[in-house]
Amino acid sequence: MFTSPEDIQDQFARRKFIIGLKPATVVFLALRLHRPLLVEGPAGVGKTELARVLAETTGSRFIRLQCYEGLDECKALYEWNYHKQLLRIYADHQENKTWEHIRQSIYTPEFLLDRPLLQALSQKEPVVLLIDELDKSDEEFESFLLEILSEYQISIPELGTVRAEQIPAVVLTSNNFRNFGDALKRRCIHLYLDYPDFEQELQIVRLKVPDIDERFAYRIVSFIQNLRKDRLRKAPSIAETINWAEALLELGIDEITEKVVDRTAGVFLKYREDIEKISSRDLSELLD
Amino acid sequence: MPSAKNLDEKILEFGHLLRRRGVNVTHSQIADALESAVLVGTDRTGFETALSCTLIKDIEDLPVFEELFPRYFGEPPPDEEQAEEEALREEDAGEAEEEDGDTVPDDEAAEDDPRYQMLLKAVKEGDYLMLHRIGKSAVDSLGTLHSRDVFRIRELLAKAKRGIGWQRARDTLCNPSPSGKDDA
Repeated sequence: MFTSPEDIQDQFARRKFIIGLKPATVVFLALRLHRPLLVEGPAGVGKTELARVLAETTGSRFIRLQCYEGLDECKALYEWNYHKQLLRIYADHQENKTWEHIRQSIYTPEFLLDRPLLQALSQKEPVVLLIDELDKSDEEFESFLLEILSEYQISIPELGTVRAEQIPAVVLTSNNFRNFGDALKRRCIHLYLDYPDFEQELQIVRLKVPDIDERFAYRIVSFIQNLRKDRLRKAPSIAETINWAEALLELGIDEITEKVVDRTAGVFLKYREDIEKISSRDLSELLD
Repeated sequence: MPSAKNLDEKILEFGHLLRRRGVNVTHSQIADALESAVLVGTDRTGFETALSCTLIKDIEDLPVFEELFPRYFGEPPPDEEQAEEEALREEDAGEAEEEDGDTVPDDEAAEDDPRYQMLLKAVKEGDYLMLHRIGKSAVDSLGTLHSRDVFRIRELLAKAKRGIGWQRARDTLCNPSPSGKDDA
């Protein structure tokens, strides 16, 4: 485990993930207090990546549960494999087995489909459990999840209670589509992850696109940073800055001109209205 | 930072203050905050982060926290950079209003002025990150700006340049070795 927030910064940086001291401190505290870490912030600032890097640096197994509307216990926790159970019932029936025998044989681990939450609880090795985009799930799922995150155990009526051998490191992410209930919020340690500042983003670009000219990287990052101040429908994320830098490098371009922006805006802007908006803007303002 | 002895009282009282301003803080959050504060030790930024990530559960409540924290736990001690900037401001206040940056302020200690050395090094090595930082600190050193300041932009520019030893760096780079680059 990590000895300090600075240790987290160092170890993450070795895996090319740049994290500020404050976010590193929050991650450190969540791990030490054995609390779920609730990461909020705009899309593309590295919320999911944070969990992945955390798993890598701690040598933990990475288990991910992607949330969506209608996600229920069957898909999140476990369900019985009905098809296989039916086959077994049929096979046993042919051999004239008693119902009591059949009943006992079909509710065994062999017929259980374990989903991410159960997987996370039943691992013997350390686990980082990512519950991605929790804001997209329903409120019922949230309260069900809260129960698991408080007890770290679940009971399967037919099999008994599964208790986590060690409390998994849990990372929840949200893009703020909806607000969570107070109980869940109180349970979690909060991290608000925003776009990186200029220096951090420059560092990231140079790390991820090492072949890029330093001066040019500086121009790219200032351009994107200025662009984020505009009221765009979807501001460019860090991944888009990197993609753009790579694209320009690939094209052999080393200067940002109106023509270049025109040609390549699709790399960092995802909506037509945003592209139209910047093409009508004075470029020198963005390059400053 | 409060000493470990009365840390719990301080945090409890701070929690009350937040509550009075409409932030919902529970006892379990206070307990978390205390445990976190002990984990991060005496570092001020760490302490502030420990409290904010345990006591503030809604991003909308963050401004209240940011307002109350320095009021209750005191303003941050000036770190080196800030102290330097403050010294600079005083220095400037002491000097009679000097006109444009064309005259070099001739104080004896200027030779090993760290700001000027830093700028020189950054330009020579083409370190854009460092240049950016220097530029930022120059602008920051001007303090809070108002819209009316636009009328004295030349004066402010000169002041910012003075603050980072711009003129001296330019002289050194242009005159003795003409190969040096001029501007960022």
